[in-house]
Formats: sequence, structure tokens, C-alpha cells
Amino acid sequence: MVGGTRRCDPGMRAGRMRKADQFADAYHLVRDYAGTDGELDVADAAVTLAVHAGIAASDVICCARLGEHAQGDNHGDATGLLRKAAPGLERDLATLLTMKTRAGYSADPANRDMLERAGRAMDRLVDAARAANAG
Amino acid sequence: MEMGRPLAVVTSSVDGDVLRALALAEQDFTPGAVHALLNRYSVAGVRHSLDRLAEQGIVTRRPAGRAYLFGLNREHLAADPIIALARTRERLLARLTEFVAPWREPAVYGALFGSAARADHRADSDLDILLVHQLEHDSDLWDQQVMDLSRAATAWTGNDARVLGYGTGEVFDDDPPDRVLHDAATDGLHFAGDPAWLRQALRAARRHRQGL
Repeated sequence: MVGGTRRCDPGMRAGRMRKADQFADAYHLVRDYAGTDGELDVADAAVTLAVHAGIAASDVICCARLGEHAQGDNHGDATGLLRKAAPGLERDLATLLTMKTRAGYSADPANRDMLERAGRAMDRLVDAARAANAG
Repeated sequence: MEMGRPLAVVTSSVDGDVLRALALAEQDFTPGAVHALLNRYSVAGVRHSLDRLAEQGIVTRRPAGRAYLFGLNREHLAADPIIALARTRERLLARLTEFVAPWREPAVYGALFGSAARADHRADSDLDILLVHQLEHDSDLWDQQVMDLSRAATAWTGNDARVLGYGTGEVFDDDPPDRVLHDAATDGLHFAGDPAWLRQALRAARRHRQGL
């Protein structure tokens, strides 16, 4: 088991925060644009945006609290590091990473439950990232 | 770790694979037969390994006509840990079963699938786990359980555990069904719920699609 982390610098942290905000805003825009009746038609795009926002937000939290962020595609490393930085929030990242895994295996569209859960997990992570970045 | 070569955690040499083959078999073999079981290395390499291990006493060697037969010496002090290592995949399944048994949000079905269930699993491969939850479920509790399982399975093996989650309704209604569900039903190693559940669900879904 090789745990990969990378040191953060201020530019990197600010850049990840911008991406987290951008993806999160895009998630809400896509859902608002589609409306309740049409949101399942854009569910895959919205969930993907939430996953990207959550990963970027997790990097910001880890950078702010630990000075490093997870590098690579190892889900265990990413949730493990976030757990050190902000215990409790790792479940939200794990929820999003599980959806990423599902998207990698399945051609099925995301369902309403996934859309809602992705949004909740993303919002918690992005809010925490904004607070950590401001602190 | 490599699920198909669990003794590689202690030795990367042919000896580990030879010991695993002998530990999982309740019979003795010629070097050629061990080589055929392993499907790797040379016959000479396997023979040298068997001779080396026989010198250590962990492998028995007895003449059979013009050849020698080799087997694991199950009375050897080192035999039990070797057998335990050789049965790592079965032990992993047992641990997974034990881990999910008390879940308040129960797993309707659970299986190890992908390379971890086959012979081509590598040390850097993911550990693919299929879990099916009930249609009506507490998703926050389910996510917490899944995350705890992922973390535990990663710690047990060193492989990044990836849980692929489905609801029962998604398996029944899937049209066409995801290939991965068929693969898990065919080659997966079941550890939770009714072992026949996935096959029956996929059959029921097929009958429904065909209007039967």
C-alpha cells in the first residue's frame, strides 16, 4: 500500500478552491436550469460535477489543515488523509468516490437518490473548504 | 497484495507459489504436476524449489517409481501459518461476511468481483466489492457502513477497496443490465446475503424484459 501525498503551496490551494467553487456552482446551475422535471436528464453531468467539486474541496481542506493533499487515484488514501484533516467529512468524500466508481463500471444513468446525495456531500465539503481556506 | 499469490507478502520467489499450491492440495505431486498447477516458472525452477523446501522439512519427498512425489508436511511447525496464508482469499471473504453481518442497514447481496476474484489480481490492483442495498434504506447510514468496510478491507489487504453499490430495484430494473452484474454473478465470490440472489434477480429481470 503506497500512500501518496503532495505538499501544497498557496497558489495550488487557491486554484483548487476556485475549481471547487466552479464545479459546485455548475452543479447547482445545471440542476436549476433543468428544473425538477428535467433534472434526471442531466443527472450524470450534475453528479460528475459534484464529484469533481468534492475532490477539489477535500484537497483544499487537507492543504489548509495539513499542508499536503492526496495524490493519485487511491480512494483509501484520499479519505484517510481527509479524516486526519477534518474527521467526519471523509464520509462525504467516500460517498462521492463511490459514485465515481459506479460511473466507471456502469452505463446506467444516475438516479434521483444519487443526485441528491451527491449534492449534499458536495455542499458540506465545499462549505468546509471555504471555511478552512478563509481561516 | 496479490490475491492469487498470497505468499508473495513474505517471498517473491517461486517458493511461495509452490508452498501455496501444496498447501491447497490434499495430495502429493511430481515436480511436473506442480509446474502444471502453477502455470509459470520452469520445471527445473519448480524442482529446485521443491528440493530446497524439502531440505527445510516443510515439504515431504517420497519416491514413486522413478519419480519423486512432493507434498506439504502438515505436521511441520510452519505448516499452519503457510496454510493460513495460502487461504488468504477465503479468509478475506470470511472477514467480509463477519464485517457486514451486524449492519443495521443490511446488505442484500455482497461479492468480491473482478481481478480479486480471479488469478490475475496484482499487488497494485483495486479490490472490487459489489454491495446491494434494500430499496428503502437510510442512505447516510449505508454510506457510513460502506466507507467503514472500504477502510477495513484496504487495511486488511493493502489494496484500494472500491465498493460498487446498487439498490435492489436497480438490479431488477436494469435494462440492459450492466455487464459487471453478470460478471459478478458468474465469477464473483459471494460473501453476504443469499448466494443465489443476484443470479435470480438477473433472471427475473430478463424474464420481465422478455414479457414472460
